[in-house]
Amino acid sequence: MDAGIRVVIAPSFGDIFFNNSFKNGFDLIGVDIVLPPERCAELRAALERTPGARLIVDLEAQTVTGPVGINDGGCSDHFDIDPFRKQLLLSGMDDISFTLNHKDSIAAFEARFAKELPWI
Amino acid sequence: MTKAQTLFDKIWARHTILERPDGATLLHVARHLVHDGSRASFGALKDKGLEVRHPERTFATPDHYVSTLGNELTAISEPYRREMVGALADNAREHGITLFGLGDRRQGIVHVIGPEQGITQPGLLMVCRGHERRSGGAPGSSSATAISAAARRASTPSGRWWTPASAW
Repeated sequence: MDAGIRVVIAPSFGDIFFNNSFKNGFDLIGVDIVLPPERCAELRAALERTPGARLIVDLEAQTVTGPVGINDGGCSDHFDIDPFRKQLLLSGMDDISFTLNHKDSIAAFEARFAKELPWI
Repeated sequence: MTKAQTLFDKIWARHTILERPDGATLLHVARHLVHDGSRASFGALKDKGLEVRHPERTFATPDHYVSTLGNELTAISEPYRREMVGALADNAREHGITLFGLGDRRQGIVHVIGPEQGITQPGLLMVCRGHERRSGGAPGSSSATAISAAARRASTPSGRWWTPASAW
């Protein structure tokens, strides 16, 4: 995040890393994209052959395209993402802003909690 | 007949505020323990213009970067780590959080001070940032067990958990 990396493409992710990527978004929100290992290797090789080549990630369409100039921009990979997380990312929300949108639920919960468990 | 619930299920349900469509659960955090690795989180709160929601339920102690050679800040030889410990004291003061700081005889390992100071109580959902996962094995108490159990559950795709902004 601090290095400005917004997207990571890999064959798999550790669950801590995967979940944290969605949470670190204070200004930037990260997305982890899972593609088949052989495809990841191809993309890596293509990028190494052509330093500075660009991949285009379309979150709305859930596609990774490119690298442009190697596949003539015509090659897209589809990736899966949880629909709710996708919606959060597209609306620029992170977990904190989502939570802040539920202040009333939280206040109601806290009032009930304090009443039921006053010793806490 | 309803399905039998484990102790963990009951504690989880008692603290559930809402469930998100992606399977994540917004949980009420009854006690929050903070250590000296927290500077970035306080910075993030500041950037967003947020306060600590419940400073009265939040307890801080430096333990990661303190020196074994002495109880003073100056005993920490590395400037970066010294600053992290100093920042915890500053942030605790600024946000009204109870601090067991350097020189305070209650200061200690963040896992240990919970039970030691009576902060850890049976049936509470407690969080300690960076320690909420599988390694959450603080000394025996129901709540420590719950955290540990939560950590195991959190590692499954269906049981992600997350905490409100008040409980970083």
